[in-house]
Amino acid sequence: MATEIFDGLTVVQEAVDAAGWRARLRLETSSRVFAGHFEGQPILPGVAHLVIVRHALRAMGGASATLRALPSVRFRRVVRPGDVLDVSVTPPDAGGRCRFEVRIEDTLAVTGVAHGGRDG
Amino acid sequence: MAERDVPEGLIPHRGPARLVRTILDDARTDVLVCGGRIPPDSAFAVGGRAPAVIVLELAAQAAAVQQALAGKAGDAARPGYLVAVRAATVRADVVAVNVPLVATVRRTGQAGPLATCDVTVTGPEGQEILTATLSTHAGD
Repeated sequence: MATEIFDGLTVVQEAVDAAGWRARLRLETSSRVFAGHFEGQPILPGVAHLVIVRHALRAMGGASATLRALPSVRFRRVVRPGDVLDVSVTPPDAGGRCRFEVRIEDTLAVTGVAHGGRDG
Repeated sequence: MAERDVPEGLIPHRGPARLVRTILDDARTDVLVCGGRIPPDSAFAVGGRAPAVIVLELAAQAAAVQQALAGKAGDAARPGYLVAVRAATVRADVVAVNVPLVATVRRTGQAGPLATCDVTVTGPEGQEILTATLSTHAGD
């Protein structure tokens, strides 16, 4: 069964290696994330991308890894039902910073920097 | 002032996407305090909990309420967009669904449909869950 990061966001391909976390994700048109966001004009809430980054930090750092800070995030285009997202998150640098980006058909949708940490 | 419901239709979020529920304080022109919660049927909720970063959406919706209240009465609610997040700190990993949350929005800048604000979201014991600076676009 395919992994879901949240309802209706399915991991199609996923790799974790020295270059970080890279994944192709499919956003189902039936995802509950579009319910009420917005009627007749469904778009993915921006925070959904940050949930993906949290997932990536866990994939790289283990189950206790979590998202602690977001120094900067830019949302560059809207994401709609049926879009396929290509996501990359770099491993933490010496300062603990990971850079991430989300692309849709080679167009940047989101870019940012995140800091991970340990839960608890 | 007395707590009151966010007027129906003030912002376009509906159903499980609607996190903001009430206006707790709008006595000051640049600060708005709203109450809300993560609905149990949120797309992000699993086992009664959701990633804490989701409360950023509550803050963004409170910012949308602030912009709508400042707009012309009778304007139709339009989808707005989160443009940027800066200097966000997330102090929890997960948040339980359906627990009362408070979002405080302080508007720091406005130029046409673009606005910037500092936001804080606290939990039921007053504990800080998230702080950030948001840039939003009120929509076309």
